[in-house]
Amino acid sequence: MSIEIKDVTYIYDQGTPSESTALSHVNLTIQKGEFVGIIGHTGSGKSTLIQHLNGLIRPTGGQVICDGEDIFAAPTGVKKKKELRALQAAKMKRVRQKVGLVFQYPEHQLFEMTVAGDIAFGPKNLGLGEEEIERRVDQAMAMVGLSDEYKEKSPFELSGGQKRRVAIAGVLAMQPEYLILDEPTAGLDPRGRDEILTQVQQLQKQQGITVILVSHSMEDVAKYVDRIIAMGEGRVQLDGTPREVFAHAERLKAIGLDIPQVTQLGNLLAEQGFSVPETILSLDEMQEKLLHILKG
Amino acid sequence: MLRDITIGQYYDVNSPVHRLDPRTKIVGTVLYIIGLFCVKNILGFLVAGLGLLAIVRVAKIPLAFILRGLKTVMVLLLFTVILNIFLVKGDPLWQWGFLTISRQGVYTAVFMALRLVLLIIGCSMMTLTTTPIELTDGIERLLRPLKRINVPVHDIAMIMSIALRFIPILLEETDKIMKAQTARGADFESGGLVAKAKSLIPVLVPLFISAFRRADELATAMEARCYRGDEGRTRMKELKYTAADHVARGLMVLFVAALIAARYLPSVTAIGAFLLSWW
Repeated sequence: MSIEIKDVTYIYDQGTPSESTALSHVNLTIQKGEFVGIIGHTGSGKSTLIQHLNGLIRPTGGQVICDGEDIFAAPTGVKKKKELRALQAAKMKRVRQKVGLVFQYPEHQLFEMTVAGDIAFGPKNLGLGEEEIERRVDQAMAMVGLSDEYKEKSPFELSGGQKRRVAIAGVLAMQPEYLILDEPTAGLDPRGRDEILTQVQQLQKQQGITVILVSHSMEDVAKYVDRIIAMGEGRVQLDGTPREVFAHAERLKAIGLDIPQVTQLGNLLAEQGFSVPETILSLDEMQEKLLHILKG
Repeated sequence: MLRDITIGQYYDVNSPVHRLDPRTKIVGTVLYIIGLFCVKNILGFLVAGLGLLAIVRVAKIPLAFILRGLKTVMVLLLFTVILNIFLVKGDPLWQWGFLTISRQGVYTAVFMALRLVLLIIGCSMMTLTTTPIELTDGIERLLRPLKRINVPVHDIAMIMSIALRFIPILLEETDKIMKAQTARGADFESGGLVAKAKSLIPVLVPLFISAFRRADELATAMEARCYRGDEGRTRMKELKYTAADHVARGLMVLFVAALIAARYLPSVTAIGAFLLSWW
């Protein structure tokens, strides 16, 4: 079970003077259960890429295959136009249930009078029964750490961080197998950032949800994800574990990215002739290495 | 879906038409509209169409792009044509029950359609070749005489330019919110009229909230930079007529004169009929 991107190309505004290629011949496979981080400079194509994963945009060329099913292929064996359209709509609904996408600043999409009402929007669209919807709302609120007292509050009187939790819960209530988060920590304070990312990590570890995290922060991805995909100029530039990817500091710099500060420090120490064997990713690791060096 | 609307859009290329002073283009467009309403025969429409085609060519805008913009007004166009065909009374050409098509009806319908198409293309030529900011600058300058009778010209122009500036932003925002709600399984396409209207609530509420938030932020940002209206405000770019504007103005006058003159010339059909009768 996986999401596969096969030779996907996407061109914005094709046929106008503002035409631009956002993705060119991207190939990727994301396995079920992975915690993947996508990093890239502004305009590197990462937002365009993730919108392909649940069929929000149709690739100009190439295929998106979700659990073995090509999400844009026309169903075969059906002749009537009406039937065809119904089948395709049903497939899209299935894909969007399976692949949950949380956009950047998701709190901007809140619209209901109550927190519970807003979270119920997704499950309602799936056509679930009332009891099931309520169960899912409770569950989703627990997943993002919102207590029951928020249920009947208006989402608009909450703080920024809480609004964002409500929005994320709105996607979780659809019980996706794949969860894509586009910059979920943008504009949050350090504490809110850590809380949200820790909760996401728990979802991945405990519920087995595949998580795809789009981020600007090298520190965040180094700390949480198992695999990094670095995008640049509409292509996958690097793909591997954080240690593998951050070993290519020069290559990352060329596409406008950096390596985490501890990794930089480690590299500087190595340049000065200290024995720092491999790419360092966390403060704890660094502390251990430094103590080791100091003890000599 | 929202990208098909080309009316009011700016088409970014560098052409002699793009470089003209916005005032020349605004006055030219107004004259062209007046001229178009004076047209009474095919000859006039021919002149208007050819003139417009020349302008499109010089402005380096692909014809396909303009025609795509017409798609959005197709419904309106069909509506006028059908209404005119059936409702104008005259010599009957075809009759079926209470439906009658008259010769005059067909004439009126064809002329109305031509006039509308030429009108829309003509107006979009102005917006396609002029940035919204230039456009409001031009309007402000042209309306300046009205200030003497206490019309708040500057404020009107500022409101217009902000409104125009925010159209693409709000369109983008709408697109984003629609995508976000689609990701949550919202369906904007199927269902009856009521279901469709209801499905817009999850888009409209966030859109309004964001519009108010943006307006508030913009007001603060303007005040922080000491904006206090018209008084003592100078411009970074003064509007200035160049030689090209004088040429364009001359051509425009000729064009409109030709449009009006065509009305008084015998129409092509009249000439044809005249020749036939001689034969």
